[in-house]
Amino acid sequence: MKAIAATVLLLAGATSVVAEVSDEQKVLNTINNVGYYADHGDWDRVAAQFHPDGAVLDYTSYANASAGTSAELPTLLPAEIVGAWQTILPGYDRTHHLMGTESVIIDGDRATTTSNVYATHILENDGEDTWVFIGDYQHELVKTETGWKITFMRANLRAQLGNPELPTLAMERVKTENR
Amino acid sequence: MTQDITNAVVRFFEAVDNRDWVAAKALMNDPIHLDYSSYGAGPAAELRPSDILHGWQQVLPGFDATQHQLGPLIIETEGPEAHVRANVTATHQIAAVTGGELWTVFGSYEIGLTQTADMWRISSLTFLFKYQGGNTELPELAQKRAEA
Repeated sequence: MKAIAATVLLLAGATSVVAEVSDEQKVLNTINNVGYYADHGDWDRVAAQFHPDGAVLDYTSYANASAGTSAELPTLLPAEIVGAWQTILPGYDRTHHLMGTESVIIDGDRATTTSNVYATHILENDGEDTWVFIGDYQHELVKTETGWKITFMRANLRAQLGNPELPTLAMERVKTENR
Repeated sequence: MTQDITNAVVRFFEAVDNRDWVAAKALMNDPIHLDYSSYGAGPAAELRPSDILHGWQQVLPGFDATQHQLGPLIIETEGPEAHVRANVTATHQIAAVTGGELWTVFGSYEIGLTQTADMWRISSLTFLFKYQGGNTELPELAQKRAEA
């Protein structure tokens, strides 16, 4: 009996050494997966980071920096979110969402995060081939049976570098290739 | 806690950028599955840490500086195995070179780690190349400088 008890204790001890992924890390995994998988064109995995009932995306600071957040932004399903991104992102030769430092606060089944981003977009053309989006994100997430999923995502543009025409060129390229 | 995993990855790239080969080797499993095929380095292979480091020593000391700027680590674990993904912007510098002093490589790492005794070691390292900018002659020049 003593030997069995010792074995059980050893196993219990060993279990505590296993690296448990904390909820904080799981939340950050979700928000970092969005840019990571979008850069690789893995749209199913991008969609899987958003709540199946939908999420609100707020790009109002990019469209018009003084506009603030509209209270009437629509809730989009994951398929609609990646559908919208696929009208532009595949038009670049490459994108590189290098996230910076991040904060995460968990309150029960809800989480809020902030993060910096330095996103480099490359598209060879007659002009400069690089456009960089510098800014920050705010995300809200909810814990579901299949993990932490995004319900709100706000991108705040602080500065852009390089060729500001690149997004337009990328969108035109997607349209041309879909014809 | 996954901080030990984060520490192993971060310290490994710091060691490489600091040319601290002893510290780098201590964080490497033997063998390591190394895959730089996306950058045209030939097929993936199981290699000994000393062979990998020997190869890197033929080039990296020829730069005045390198900086592997990783994004946040996406960490998943399965018992004593960890799978880590991270974007990386790697900046390489040789000062005052004609054609530009910087060569910058954009991509991501997919890193496997194994828990051995009380520490995590890197057991696989895959680089997924995206794009390179700046002076692309720099790696060849660095190799010549490292030989000299």
